[in-house]
Amino acid sequence: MALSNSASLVSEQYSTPVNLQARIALHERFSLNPYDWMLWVLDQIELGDDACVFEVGCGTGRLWKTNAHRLRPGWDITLSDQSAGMVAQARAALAGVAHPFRFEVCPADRVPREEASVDVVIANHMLYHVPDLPAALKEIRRVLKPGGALYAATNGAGHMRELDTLYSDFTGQAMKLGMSLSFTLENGADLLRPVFPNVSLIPHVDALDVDDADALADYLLSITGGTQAREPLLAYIQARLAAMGGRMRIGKDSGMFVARA
Amino acid sequence: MIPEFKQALEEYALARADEQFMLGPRSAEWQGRGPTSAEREVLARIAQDELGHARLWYAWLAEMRGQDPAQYPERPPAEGRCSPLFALPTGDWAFTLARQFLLDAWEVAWSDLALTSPMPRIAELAAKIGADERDHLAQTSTWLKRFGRNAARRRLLQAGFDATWPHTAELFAATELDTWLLDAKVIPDPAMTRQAWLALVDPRLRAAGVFLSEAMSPGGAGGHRFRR
Repeated sequence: MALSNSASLVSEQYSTPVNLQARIALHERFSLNPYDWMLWVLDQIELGDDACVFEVGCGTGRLWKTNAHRLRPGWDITLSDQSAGMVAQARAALAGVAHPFRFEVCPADRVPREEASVDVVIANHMLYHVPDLPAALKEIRRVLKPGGALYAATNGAGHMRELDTLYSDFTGQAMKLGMSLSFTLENGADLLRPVFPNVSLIPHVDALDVDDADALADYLLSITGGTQAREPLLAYIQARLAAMGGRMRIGKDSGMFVARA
Repeated sequence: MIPEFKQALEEYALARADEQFMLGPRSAEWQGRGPTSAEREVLARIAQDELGHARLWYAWLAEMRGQDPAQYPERPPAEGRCSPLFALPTGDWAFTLARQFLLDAWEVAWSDLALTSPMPRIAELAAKIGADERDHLAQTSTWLKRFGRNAARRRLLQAGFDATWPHTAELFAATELDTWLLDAKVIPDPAMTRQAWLALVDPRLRAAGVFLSEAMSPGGAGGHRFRR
C-alpha cells in the first residue's frame, strides 16, 4: 500500500498516532544527520519577531515541541490537522510548552483565517495527503499576506527506496511503499507554480543506518497496515541484514519548497 | 583523568564533529544539480557519511560530558570549532571537488595514524571513519583524474585548488589543549599527518595535471567559526 492522498487515509492511518510513532521512531534512532529534522525545518523559515504562523497537517505537534526553546513571544502559532485525534495529541504534547498555541481541526483547503492574514503557512510532509491539492494551495495563498510564504516539505522519488527493494524482494512482487506520493520533490515546483509565482527548493541531506531488524519490521508493518505476518518478515529482514554486514543504509530524499505569494 | 586532559579530549571531539557537521550539508548542496546523476548520488552518500561521522563524535562527546548529544549541532555559530576549509561556502564543481578531495585525503591520513591510538574509542572511530573515507578518496580521485583530462576543465580545477589549498594549513594546526593529547600520543601528530596527507595528495594532483606552485604553499588566515 502506498501512502497517497486516499480519502480514507486520515481515518485509517492517522486517527491514532501509533503507526506514525513507529515511523518517527525509526528516523529518531537511526538517522545519520545529528541535527533534528524539525530544527532544520524551522531554520529554513524566515520569521521576524512578530509573525502569524499557520501549520496545516500538524500531526503530533512535533515541530513545535522540538523547537519549544526557540519560540519567540510574538509568534502567533496555529496548529491544524484534519484529524481531531492528531490535534488532541498535539495539544497534549504542547501542554507543557509556555507559548499560547492555537489549535484547529480543519482540512487544508478550508483554513479558518481571514484573507491575507497569515505570514507563513507550514505544510511539513503533508501536501501529498490532500485530496484536492490545487484547491488547498489556492486556499493557502488566500490566507497568506502579500510577501508571505508557504513552506512545504516533502520527499523525493529516491526516499527510502532501499525499503521498497527490501519489501519487494520479500513479497516477490514490485512494491512501492513511498513512491506514489502526489506531491514530491520532483513535481512539487510544477504543482506550486500555478498558484505561487516564486518557488524554490532547499534540499536536506540524511540517511538511515539501521542495524535493528525489529525496527525495520515495525516500520514496514506500520506502512502496510500490519496485514503481513510479522515473523516471516522479521526473519527475512534479519537474514538480509546479516548478509549486508549487519547494517543497512537507507537514503532519505527530502527537502522543502519555499513558495512565495 | 586530569581535568585538562579531559577538556582537551572534549574539545578535540567537538572540533572533529563540527567539521563533519559543517561539510556534510555543503556537499549536499549539489543534490539535484550535480554534473551527473551518478555524481549527485555519490556526493549525497558522502554527505550522509560525513553527517554520520559528526554524529559519532558528538555521541562520544556527550558520553564524556554526560549530556544530550542533540544539543551540540544547535550551538550558536560563535561556539563552533571548525577549520575554515570545512566551512567555506560551496563554490563551483571544481571547488567542491578540490575541497572534498583534500579533506578526504586528510581524513584517510588521520584515520590511518589514529588506528594505533592507545585510546580505544579514538581507534574505533578511526576504523569506522577510515573505512568510509578510503571509499570517498577513491571516488574523488577518480573524479579528479577524469576532470583533469580536459584542458578547459583542468583550468577550473587549478582554480579550485588555488582557492582551497591555502586553507589546508589549518588542518595541521594544533591547539594549546591538543598538546595534552599529543604528549600522550592519543591523537596523530600533525606533522606526521601532513606527511601522510601529502603522500596521498601529491601523486593524484600530478596525475590530474594540477600544478602545485610556490603560491600554493599552505598558509591562510586562521579563525575558528562556523555558520550554519
